[in-house]
Amino acid sequence: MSRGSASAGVVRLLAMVPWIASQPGGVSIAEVCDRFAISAKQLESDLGALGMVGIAPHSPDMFVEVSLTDGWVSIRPQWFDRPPALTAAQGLALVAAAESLQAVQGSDPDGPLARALAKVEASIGVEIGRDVDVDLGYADETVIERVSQAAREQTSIDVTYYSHGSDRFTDRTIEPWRVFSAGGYWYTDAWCHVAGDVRMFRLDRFGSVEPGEAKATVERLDMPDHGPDLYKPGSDDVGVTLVIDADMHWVIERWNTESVVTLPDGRVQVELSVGSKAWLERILMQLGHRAQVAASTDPAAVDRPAVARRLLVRYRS
Amino acid sequence: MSANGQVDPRERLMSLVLELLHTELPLTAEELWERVPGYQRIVNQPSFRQAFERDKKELRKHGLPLVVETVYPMGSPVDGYRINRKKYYLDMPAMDADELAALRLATTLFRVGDGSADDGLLRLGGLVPAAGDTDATAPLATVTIGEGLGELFTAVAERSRVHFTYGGVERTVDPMRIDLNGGRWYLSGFDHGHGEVRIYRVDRIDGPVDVGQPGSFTRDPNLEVRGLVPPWLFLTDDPVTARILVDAGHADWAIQQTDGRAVVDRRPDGSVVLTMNVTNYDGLRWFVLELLDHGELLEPVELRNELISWLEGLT
Repeated sequence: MSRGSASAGVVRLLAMVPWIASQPGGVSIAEVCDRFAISAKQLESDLGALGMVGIAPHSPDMFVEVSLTDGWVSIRPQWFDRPPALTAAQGLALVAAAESLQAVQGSDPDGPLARALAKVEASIGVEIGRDVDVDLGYADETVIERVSQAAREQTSIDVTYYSHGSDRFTDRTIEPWRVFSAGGYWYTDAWCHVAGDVRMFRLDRFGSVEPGEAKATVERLDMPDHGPDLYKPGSDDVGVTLVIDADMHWVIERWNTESVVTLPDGRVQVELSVGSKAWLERILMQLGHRAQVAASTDPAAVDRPAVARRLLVRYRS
Repeated sequence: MSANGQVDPRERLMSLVLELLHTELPLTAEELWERVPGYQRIVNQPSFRQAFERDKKELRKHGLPLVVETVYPMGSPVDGYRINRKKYYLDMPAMDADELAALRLATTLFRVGDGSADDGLLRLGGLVPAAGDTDATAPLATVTIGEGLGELFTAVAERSRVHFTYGGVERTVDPMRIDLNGGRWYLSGFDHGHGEVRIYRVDRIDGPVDVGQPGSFTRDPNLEVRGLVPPWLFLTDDPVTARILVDAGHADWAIQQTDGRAVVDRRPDGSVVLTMNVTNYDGLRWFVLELLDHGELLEPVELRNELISWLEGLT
């Protein structure tokens, strides 16, 4: 919402007027501007719009009374004496943000965040955990903290990283630039000394994270916002078309698909661009005969019998 | 009023709120036309109705509890309007400065909704910076609140039965829980058509959600609504205890996937045996196959044999 629009102005006034009115003797314009994130000019404009606000029959004592002098503002607490309740979206947004921060930094039950959250929870009439739960994805708190610390202090870390695509672990020294959560997973954009390039790593795939010795060696670039879909198809990807039984439709909800078509018999035809051999092996094993490979640009990559035989070795030894 | 004689829309809306909030009896549209600056200058009925409809929509958008009741000013029934005072006001002990600062840090790091969190903070007392928080902090996550989610959340809080279309089917649902998982919002509730608790992805609900009256259902305390759980914990099969051997290289990753739900026995070579409760056998097979040839289902023997048969069927 634009801060300058009439709609934003009303949202702000409904919150700001009761707060100013509740300050005995008034408050400095600078503090109001800080607290409500507006300029002095905007505040003057907002308060100016209150000049003729009052209740019919509009006798002098029925108007909102604003006093604005010498950098100081006061409002007679007559009409707008308390702020409006939180909307559902506001309550949910505050609960989600506070729960997320607790998940990252740990929860001190007597700390200010927990106390604030309890007040919001009681006010909007929900029980966190029972009625609402926010999960930004699993990653070990220690891992998030160590990687975030390296990003803040611009140092390197030594990590063991599991590549889901190649299905193996590698030791790497990386210089984390930022940590973020998207699509249910935690990531870091980092300079990777092994690749000699910027790479994105999933934090739940770090086996170990140890402080490195080096200060950062590479100047950071401004990283673009990745958006919700982090996977970008590459030129080496295998194109695969699967036809999946209707009742297994749910599995594609987390995939990045090129196209999804429901066939006349209810089955779902999905076109995928797959950059990871191991990922493809997994879904072929997991779906089994509930999915058929209709086409592939690399038949060797979808050799289901070969993968099944490899897995069976474990059970026959 | 501005220099060109137009009434500032903020002035008109604030006056409208004040009239509706402090009236003892519902006010008709005609009465509001006479009372509210900005309406008074409108000379014809269609223009006034257009402005009034737009303003009502605006007040509802900001969550103000506008109530419509029938009144009989001239003996005939017409709509009367007021704002429900009890619901309008924030009912909460005042936030301390450190509590506001903690929430501010949370909304800075986790951007949820399009400005909703900060608009909420304004109502709670403003945007108070955390002590020593001088960095321009980059957000750790950005989460959208899509259309309909606010209504569903209200419906959960107020126990309002909802109706919507999902997967081409009309649903009547007692909404009980909202989850954010994998970057997506889900609604859990009792689906009357199916006679069981179901989970819906909120962004896949077709069209608008029709929300019933507050208190239109009672939550059964014995009904378990667990939101999203791992696939091996979907309640479909008799409970069993499974043991899974995971190679050393994949042990930590596998433990993380169980999210604290498995007992872990670490062996000298670094491999682990995960012992966990299972109530969905297909979900268990899905999890074990996620490990490819780095994991092995040891027990129960029956499910191990079924997994072997599954793989043999694919050779």
